[in-house]
Amino acid sequence: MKKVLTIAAKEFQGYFFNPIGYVFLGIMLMLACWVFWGDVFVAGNADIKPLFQTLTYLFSVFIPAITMGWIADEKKSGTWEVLITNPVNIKMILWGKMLAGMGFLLVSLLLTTPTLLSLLYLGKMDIGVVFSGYVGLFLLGSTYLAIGLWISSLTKHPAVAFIGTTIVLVLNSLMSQEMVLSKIPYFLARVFEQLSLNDKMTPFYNGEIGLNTTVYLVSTIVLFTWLAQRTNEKNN
Amino acid sequence: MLSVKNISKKFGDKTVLDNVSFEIKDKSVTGLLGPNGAGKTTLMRILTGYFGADSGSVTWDMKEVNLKSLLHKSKIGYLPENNPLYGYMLVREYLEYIVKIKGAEDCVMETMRVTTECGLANVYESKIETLSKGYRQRVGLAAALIGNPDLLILDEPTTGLDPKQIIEIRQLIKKLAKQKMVILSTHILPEAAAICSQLLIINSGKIVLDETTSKIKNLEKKFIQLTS
Repeated sequence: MKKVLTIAAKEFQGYFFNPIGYVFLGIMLMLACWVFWGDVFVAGNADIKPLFQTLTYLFSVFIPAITMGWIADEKKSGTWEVLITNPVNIKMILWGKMLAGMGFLLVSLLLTTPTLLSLLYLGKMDIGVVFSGYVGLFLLGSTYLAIGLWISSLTKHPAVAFIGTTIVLVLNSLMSQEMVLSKIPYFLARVFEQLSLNDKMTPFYNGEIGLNTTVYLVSTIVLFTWLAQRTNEKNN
Repeated sequence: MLSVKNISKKFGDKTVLDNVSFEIKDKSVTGLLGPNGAGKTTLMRILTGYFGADSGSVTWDMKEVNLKSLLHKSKIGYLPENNPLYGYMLVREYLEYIVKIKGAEDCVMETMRVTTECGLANVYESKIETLSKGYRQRVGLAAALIGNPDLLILDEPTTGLDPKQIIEIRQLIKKLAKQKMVILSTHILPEAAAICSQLLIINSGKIVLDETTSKIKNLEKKFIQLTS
């Protein structure tokens, strides 16, 4: 565990030396606030749910920017060889990266709280809904991180990892869209609904932390981290 | 003593190592020579546990070694070809990081020890990406020395260095060989003759010469004969 935390600390520090991290974080926060405040002022609707829903979609681009270099960059630069030939195994490296990514995700979510405080100033807010919404976003983001980790393990090129992860996450978002579901056969629509991670967020945004959904998301995180482990073990 | 027996490795249909066997004595420098693509780096990567071998075994002091085990990895220090480093980190941060992942006991003492040994004191707080190639090579070597490993594996440790830096690195390797086993690969034949006590020439994945350096009279001629 000590070595996992050492890797996580080093990775976390690395985000603050990487301009790509700042740029994507800045763009994500700007877009989220723009869409959210537009809703508040234009529709006169002081509700936190649109912020959560916007972030859910923005994660499809923001998360791949975090994960694209995780394995691909290490392999491209050769530092993967340094890591692997030290007394750490692939599992430790991957969980170290996951923890660092989850830490960065938490920081990113904390940076949206000024919006929340402004909304508190403007009107009443259900703290339970806010809390469960943030828990849901954190779990969804972490699941996306695990998917990105696996895709980053499949290539030596960070750009390919970014595009691949973005495509998968956008497809995941589309699978929950009514405009898509209404145009495909019923049984396929049911499968898509079951597979889509976005649809699993609805209870969280309504103030519920469902045990089933939490277990489903945590299992998906473990599954994709394990897939990344198997992929990297096979390649070495 | 490290004993490598019948190591073979294929990438697809291509045989990169073909029944490679040799022995290395304690407190010695073994030079691994061969043309490009001969299998030197693959052999080193197998010994470090980076790649698995398709067949063969390695014994160390009569005990069979699991090359992928963390215990084996804690006993070796490795400087890969091209010396990959995290450029954004300070020398101190990088060495401390390696100390922690190697699980060495006293982080500060161990970092200071390798810093002194590799002459890095005046760049200790510098960013790695700002260092000259010679200093970067020293950082890689210092990282390999962390945890005081019994076996040092150095893949072309003097490539790209200026003559003064080459002499310094050679002296350091000779000094280290008084305490541990060193395996190094090089393209520079005079360098191999100057610092290695044993030479292995590898060609097309096979060991074509395994001899003590003092017994080889004309290394250049021998090399051309065996690799052409």
